[in-house]
Amino acid sequence: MVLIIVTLALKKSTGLQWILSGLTVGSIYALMAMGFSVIFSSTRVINFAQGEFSMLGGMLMYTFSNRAGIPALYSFILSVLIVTLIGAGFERLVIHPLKKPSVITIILITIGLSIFFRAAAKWIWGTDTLAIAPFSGDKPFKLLGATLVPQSLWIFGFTLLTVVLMFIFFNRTILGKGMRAAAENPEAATLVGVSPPATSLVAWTIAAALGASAGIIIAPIKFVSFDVGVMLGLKGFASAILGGLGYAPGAVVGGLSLGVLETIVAGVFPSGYKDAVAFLVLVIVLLLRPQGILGRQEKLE
Amino acid sequence: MLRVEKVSTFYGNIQALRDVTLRARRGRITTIIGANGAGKTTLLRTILGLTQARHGHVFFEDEEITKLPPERIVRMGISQVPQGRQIFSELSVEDNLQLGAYVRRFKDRAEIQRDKEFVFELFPVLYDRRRQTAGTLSGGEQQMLAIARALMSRPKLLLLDEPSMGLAPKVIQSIFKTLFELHEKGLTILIVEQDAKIALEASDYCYVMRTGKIALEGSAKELLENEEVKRIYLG
Repeated sequence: MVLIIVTLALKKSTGLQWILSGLTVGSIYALMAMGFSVIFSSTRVINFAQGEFSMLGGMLMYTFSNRAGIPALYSFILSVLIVTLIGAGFERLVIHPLKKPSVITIILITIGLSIFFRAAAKWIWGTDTLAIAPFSGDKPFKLLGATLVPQSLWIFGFTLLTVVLMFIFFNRTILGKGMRAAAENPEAATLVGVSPPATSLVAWTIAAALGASAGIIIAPIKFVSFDVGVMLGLKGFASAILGGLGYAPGAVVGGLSLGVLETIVAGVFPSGYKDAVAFLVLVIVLLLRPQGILGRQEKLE
Repeated sequence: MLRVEKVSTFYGNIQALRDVTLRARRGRITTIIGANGAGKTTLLRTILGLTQARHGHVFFEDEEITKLPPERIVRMGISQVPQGRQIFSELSVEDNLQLGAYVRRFKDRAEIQRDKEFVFELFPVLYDRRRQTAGTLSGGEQQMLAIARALMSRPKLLLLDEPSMGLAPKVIQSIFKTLFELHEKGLTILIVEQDAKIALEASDYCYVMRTGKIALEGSAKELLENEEVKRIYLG
């Protein structure tokens, strides 16, 4: 926040430009971070394959819309649907059959899964960087003196819609409340009949859908290739840690902050340092405020 | 209604329950007393499937439930008020109650609403605080919420683990008064209690546990007059 105000004061239009670009990538990080959060809060597992869901989403979008010529909207729905099924199927076929696996086992499995997805993508789509057409033209327009591409608006709109839907799900539906209960106290949740396997399945399904949509809507700006998932995943993870892991509003705050911070750093310093920001933030947050900006201290019993 | 037959439960290599056999009869209040670490909580956990029994069987209404997952057992009509209350402190009182009815979520919305009104009548203070986060309630109110939540699944059998723990005598009295009211309405109740006096006065039939075994059993009247019980548990 302070950073945003300082930047605005120093350089009015450039500052605004940075912030708007920052919020664009930040929205993507926020979607990724929500994916991490939802799986973490219901299963205490960090899903290191979260980034690969985005990569797969982008790749499928490319195949459907650029290769097969299916209209963007249908390609989008189809791609998200397929990745969501992959996520849910993975939970059912690989994680569910394990009898009381330790958290570290599942984390290792997700690392293996991410390597597998990357190799499979390389095999199917090759190593080229692929471009996807923006959803509605690429003619930039001016907003308060800053230049924006229309895709940014899609990203803002979609992220906002997702945040609202997530809020409704977790606060207004019995299934969502059950998931929050399970996140807070798994055993008490079991006692009222919330089944842990079902919670885990729902979490993986939501995370895969979030990851895929993030990967697709960013693709027209950042391109897509077999290895985009690594960086997107790590940025999303850093955002989740920054905002407070396991807490949905934290994911949004963390994602947007990281996006803006990164863009400002890229503007002030040589842009090669940009990616280092996320990791620097990760280290600093873990050292100084491990529960994140909005997170609460984990209760140890 | 509930039959536990020769159940043995282990934590790793440590045996927590040894051939425990007991019954909770329909329409009665049954209590289990015993010192800390006697295995009372483990027994409740085993009944609900939170901890697996290594040997022995648990039957509920003549159906074996030994190996069923907890959520299935809850659906069959057993509900537990866990030790330390374990309410969802970040959710509102009303959400806690709604989650209590989680197993019935796909049917009878109107009935759930009626049950909510019923528990609000039982514990009017919960109605006053229905929009508050459950974590802001006092200890006694949290215990009431835990009981109310357990009732929302419409149990045939209610298990309570140390309902008096950490509460003032007056609050304990009012909670037991409510339990009697529920009992009069036909609910079968099984209470685990460290405070033997409260437990014996409340119950029809009582088991005494010691180091994972049932050491004594009998009607509450018999046990109240038993020399050993008097000496060890009633002080």
